[in-house]
Amino acid sequence: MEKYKFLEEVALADIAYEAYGKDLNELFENAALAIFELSANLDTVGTSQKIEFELENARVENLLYDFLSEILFLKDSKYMVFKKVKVSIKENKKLQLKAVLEGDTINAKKQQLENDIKAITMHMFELKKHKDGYKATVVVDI
Amino acid sequence: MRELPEKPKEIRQISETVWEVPTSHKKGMLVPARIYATKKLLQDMDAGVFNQVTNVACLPGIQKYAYCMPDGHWGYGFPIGGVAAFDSETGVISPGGIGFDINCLVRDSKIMTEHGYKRSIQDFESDFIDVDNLNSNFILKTRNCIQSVLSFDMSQKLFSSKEIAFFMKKKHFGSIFQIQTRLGYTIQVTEDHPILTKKGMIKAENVRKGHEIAIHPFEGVNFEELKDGLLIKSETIFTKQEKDELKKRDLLYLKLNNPKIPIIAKLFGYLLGDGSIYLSGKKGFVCAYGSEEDLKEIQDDFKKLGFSAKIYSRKRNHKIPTKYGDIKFEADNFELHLPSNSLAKLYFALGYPQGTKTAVSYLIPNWILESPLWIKRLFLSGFFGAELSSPRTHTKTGFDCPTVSINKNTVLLDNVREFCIQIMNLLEEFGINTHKLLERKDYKNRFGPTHRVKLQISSEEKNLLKLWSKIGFSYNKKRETLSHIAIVYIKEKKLLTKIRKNTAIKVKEFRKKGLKVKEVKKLLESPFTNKRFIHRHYYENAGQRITLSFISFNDFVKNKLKEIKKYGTLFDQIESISKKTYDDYVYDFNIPKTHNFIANNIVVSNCGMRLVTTNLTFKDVQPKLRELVDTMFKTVPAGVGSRGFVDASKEQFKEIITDGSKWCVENGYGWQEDLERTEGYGKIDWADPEKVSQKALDRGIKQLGTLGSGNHYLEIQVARAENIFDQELAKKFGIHTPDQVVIMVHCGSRGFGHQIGTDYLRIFEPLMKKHGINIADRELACAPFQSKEGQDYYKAMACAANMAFANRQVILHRIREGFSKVFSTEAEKLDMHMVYDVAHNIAKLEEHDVDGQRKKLVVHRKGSTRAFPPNHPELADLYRETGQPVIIGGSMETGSYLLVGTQKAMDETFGSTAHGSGRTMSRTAAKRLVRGDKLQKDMEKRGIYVKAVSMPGLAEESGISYKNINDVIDAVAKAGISKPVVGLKPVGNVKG
Repeated sequence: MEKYKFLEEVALADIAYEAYGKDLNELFENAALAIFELSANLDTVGTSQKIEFELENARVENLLYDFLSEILFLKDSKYMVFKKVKVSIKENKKLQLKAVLEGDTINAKKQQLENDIKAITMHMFELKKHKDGYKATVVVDI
Repeated sequence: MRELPEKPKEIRQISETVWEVPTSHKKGMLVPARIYATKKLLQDMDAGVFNQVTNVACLPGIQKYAYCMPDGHWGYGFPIGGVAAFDSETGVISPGGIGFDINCLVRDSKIMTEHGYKRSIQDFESDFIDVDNLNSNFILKTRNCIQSVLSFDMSQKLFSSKEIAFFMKKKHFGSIFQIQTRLGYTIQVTEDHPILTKKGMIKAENVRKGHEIAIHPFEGVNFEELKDGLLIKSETIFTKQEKDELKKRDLLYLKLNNPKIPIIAKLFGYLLGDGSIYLSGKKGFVCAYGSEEDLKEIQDDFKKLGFSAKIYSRKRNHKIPTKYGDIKFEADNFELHLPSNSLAKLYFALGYPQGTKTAVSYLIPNWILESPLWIKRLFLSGFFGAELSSPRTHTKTGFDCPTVSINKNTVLLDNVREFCIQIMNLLEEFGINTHKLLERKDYKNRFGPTHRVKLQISSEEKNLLKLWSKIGFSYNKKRETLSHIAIVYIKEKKLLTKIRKNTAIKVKEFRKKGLKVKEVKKLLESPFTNKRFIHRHYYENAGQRITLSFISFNDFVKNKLKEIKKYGTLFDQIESISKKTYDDYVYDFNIPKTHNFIANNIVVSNCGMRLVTTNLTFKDVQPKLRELVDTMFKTVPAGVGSRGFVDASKEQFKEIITDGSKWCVENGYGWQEDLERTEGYGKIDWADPEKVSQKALDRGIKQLGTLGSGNHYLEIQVARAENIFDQELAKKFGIHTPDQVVIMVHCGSRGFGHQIGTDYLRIFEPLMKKHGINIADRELACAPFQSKEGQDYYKAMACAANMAFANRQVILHRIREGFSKVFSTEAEKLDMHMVYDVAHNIAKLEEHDVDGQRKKLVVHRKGSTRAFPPNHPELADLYRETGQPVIIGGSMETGSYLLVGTQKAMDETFGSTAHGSGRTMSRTAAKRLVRGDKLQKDMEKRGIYVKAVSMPGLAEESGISYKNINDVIDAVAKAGISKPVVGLKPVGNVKG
C-alpha cells in the first residue's frame, strides 16, 4: 500500500499530502514519514538519536494535528531531523498515543536539508476511515 | 481525489483592475469580495483564491469587502494576498439604553430585545449552551435558539435587531464605574466598556462629566416566559394544502409559546388598524398600508413568518368623506400585498375580522388578552403604529391627548365601545390612564350611518412617559422617533422643574436665615430662575410650573431630528461618574455584524520585507559578488534547524519579543535611525510574553537572526536607470544613482510565530465547535476580539510580530557586518541606510473610514502590505511627506519593486496593497518540472549568483512557479493602491 502522496493541484504556497494506513498507528506513522521526507533527503539522515513522547486527545483528528505539530516543535527545539517513527495508539476513555522517533541532530554538512516546515495547518485537514483503512489530508505551511 | 472548488460564475467588473464577487455567490457572505487584478491575472487565478476570499467574506464583523490583491493565490484559511478588516466596536443596548457594551455589564443590567421586552443580562444565560474547555472565571456560551437584541448599527446609523452569537460572563474583581446622566439613566460597567459618544466609542474609564453619550429612551416591559398551550389545532377551515403550507413554516399546530407569536401579535395589531385580510373567491390576501419604509419592516416580519410580500406604489386620488364634506387629495400610496390562503385563514382563526372592518364586529382575541404583558405590548404598539395620533403639543410645551379614532357603522356602536374598553383595560395594565370615550355621528357608508368613537389617553406627563417608553409605536418609524424625542423633552422639562422647585426651597431657607431679597437674587439667579422668580418665592407661596423661556416642543424636535440625522441616535450628558467595588460576574454578548472578531491564524508570523541601500554601484559589487553572497550565506543562517548567533537567555528572549527592534538597537544590533524606518517603530506595544506558550519560547529562542526556508531570502539587487520610475521619490528613499546596489530581506518570526498560531488555533477551535456562525474552513477558527482568548491571541501575536521585526533587525546588522568586511569599509561609510521594514502578515487595530464614519477596525493583512499615504499620522516624520515606502518582492529570477502608499489605498483597501508576485504552481509541481542544481547554473549564466541550502527548495522557488511580477505591479498601479518608484533586479541571492 502507498504510504503517502503529495498533491500537486492543492495549496500553491504550501505543500499538501495524503497519508494512508490500514490502521491508525500506520496512518500516523505514514503522515510523519511525509513530514520527514519534506524536511531532508532521508538517505542522508541516520538514527543516532531517539526521542519518545506521549500525547492524548479525545478526538483522533486533533491527536494527529498535535502529533505532527509536536514533530515540528522537536525539530526546532531539539534541532533534529528524523528518519524512523513508531506509533502506538490505545483507547482508554481518551486516545493515548506513544511515539518513538529516531533521527539525527541537524548538521547541514551531513544531511541534505530541504523544507523548513513552519506549521501544520487546519486548512482541509481531515482524517477519514474507509473500508480498507484510514486516509488523512494535511497541508503544511512552508 | 477531492473535489476542487470552482470559480464563481458571476464576477462583475468594477473598473479595469477591480472585480467583484457578489454576496449572492455563496450563502453566508456578509460583504462582496473584491479582487484587484488585470484581466489576465484574474483569469490565471486559481479557483482556491475565490473560494477562500469568499469564505473570509462570511466572517462576522467584516467591513466593506473581503479583498484579494493581484498577487493573490491559494493559501490556507485566508488567501495569500488577502486583506480584511473587522469592526472592533459594537454592542447590545443597555439599561434605559445608555451606551454600548463589549466588556462588560453587571448582572442585572437590562437588555432591550427585538420584541421590546427587557431582560436582565444574567437571565439570558439559560438560553445559551456551554462551550467546553474554559476555566470557571471566564464562561463562554453559544446559542441554542435565536435570540435577538436591539443593537446600534454604526454604519447605517440606526437601531435594528441583531442576533446574539455568544453569551459571555467573567469573574470581575475590583471596581466598576457607575455612570449617571442628567436625565437619570444609569449604567454600571467595567472600565474598559466602550460607550457611544458623539466622538465615537470611548472607554468608560475615559468618559467625563459633561460628555454626551448615546441613549435609547424606549424602556419596554419585563420579560415573562410564554405559556405552553395549544392556540390553533388543525382546524377544519384549512384545506390539506393550506395545512401543509402552515406546517412547513412551523405555524400548525400553533402553540402559545411558538417563537413566531410575538411577530404574529405585532402584525395583528397593525393590520387591525391599517390593513385588511380577505378572501376573494377562493384566494386569500393580506394587505397593509403605510409608508414605504414602514411597509418594508412589515415585509421583513412576514418573511420571518415564512411568507414573502410585495410592496406596490401607486398614485391615488383620495376622497375621504367627513361630517364637513369630502376631502380630496392625490398622494403616492404604498401598499403591501401578500397573497396566501393559509396565512389569511390563520389570521381569521386567530380572531382577525373578515369583511369590511367598519361593518363587522370584532374584539381583541382572548389569546392576546391572556398573554404576558410583553405580547400585549406588541399588539398595542402595532395597533398604535397604525391608529394612535402622533406626539404633538397644543401649546408651546403642553402635549395633546394621544387619541385613537375608530369609525364604525352605528348598528355596531356597542361593539366598538367594547373594543375600546378592552384597549383601555390593557392600557391600565401598563399603568396608563385614559379619559371617557367620546362619540359622535359621522359620515354614511354603503352599509349605513357611522359613528366615530374616540379613545383619549390622559396627557398628564407621567402618563405620556409610560405610554411612549413602555408601549410606543411599531411599524411607524416617524412616530416612533417623535415619541423618543418626546420622552427626552418631558424628562428635560421635569429636570428643570426640579431645579426650580429646589431653588424655591432655597429662597425660603435663605430668607429664614435672614438674607435680603437682593442677596438671594445674587446667589440663585440663573437662566431658568430669574429675578422675578426669586422675588415671587421670597414673598409668596407660589406654585411651580415650567418657565416660559423653555424651548417649544416643535423647536426641540427640529434640533433633535438634526442630531438623529447626523448620529442616528439621541444623546444625554453625563452628570456623574463614580467608582464602586464589585466582586462578581460581569456579562457580555457577542453580536455578529456589529461586533468584532479576530480571525486566528491569518496572522502568525509577521513575515515582512526590509530594504537597505548602499552607496555602491553594480560595478563596485560585481567583482566581489560571489564573496559577498558566500559571506551572507555563512553569517545569516538559513534552512532547517538553523541557529542564530544571538545567544539569548530565556529572560532576554522575553525582552526581545516585548520590545522588538528596539531591543536590538539598544543591544548593539543596529542604528538608532533604523527604528523610525520600521513599520510601527519595530515594536508592537501590546505584546505580552505571558500569553506565549513555553513551547513557542523553546522553538523560537535560538532562531533570532535566521532566514528560514521556503520563499524567504536575502537578495542583492540593482536599481538600473531604466527602472527608476519616480526620480524624486527614489532619491527621498535613498536611491539616487543608476545601478546602485541595494539589499532586500524577506523573512519572519520563524517557528516561534507558527507555534503561537498552532497553539491558539487549538484554543479557538473548541470555541467554534458549536457556535452559530459557519466557518467554511477550520483554519478560519476565530474568537471574539474582546473575549479573553481573542485578547490573549492578539497579545501573543504581537510577540510574534516583535520577534519578526527583531529577526530582520539582527539580520540587517549581519548584512552591514558582512559588507563592511568584504569592502573593508565601515557600514556607515557605505551609507547602508535602511529604506523601510514593512510587515505583510499581521493584524492591527487601525482607524479607517467606513461609509463616511471613522471606525476602529482590526485589519488583517495576510500576504499584503500596508500602504499608507502621505501625511498619515502613523508615519514617522521622515516619510510624512512622501508616503510610506512599500516593498513588493518578486521571484528570485525576475526582480522586485519599491513603491509608495496612496490615498486611494486608504479609501479603498484599508491602506493595503500586494506583497509579492504570487505563486501559480504548487511546490510539488515545480519540483517535478525544475531541477535545483540546473536552475542554479542557468541563473548564474544570466548573472544571478544563488546560494541555497536545499536544491529541491530552490527548484520550488523558480520563476516559472510565480506570476509575472510586472503584471502584479501593473495592476496595483492601475488600481492606484500604490505607486511604483523603483524596479530592482536581482544579482545575488541567499536561500533556505
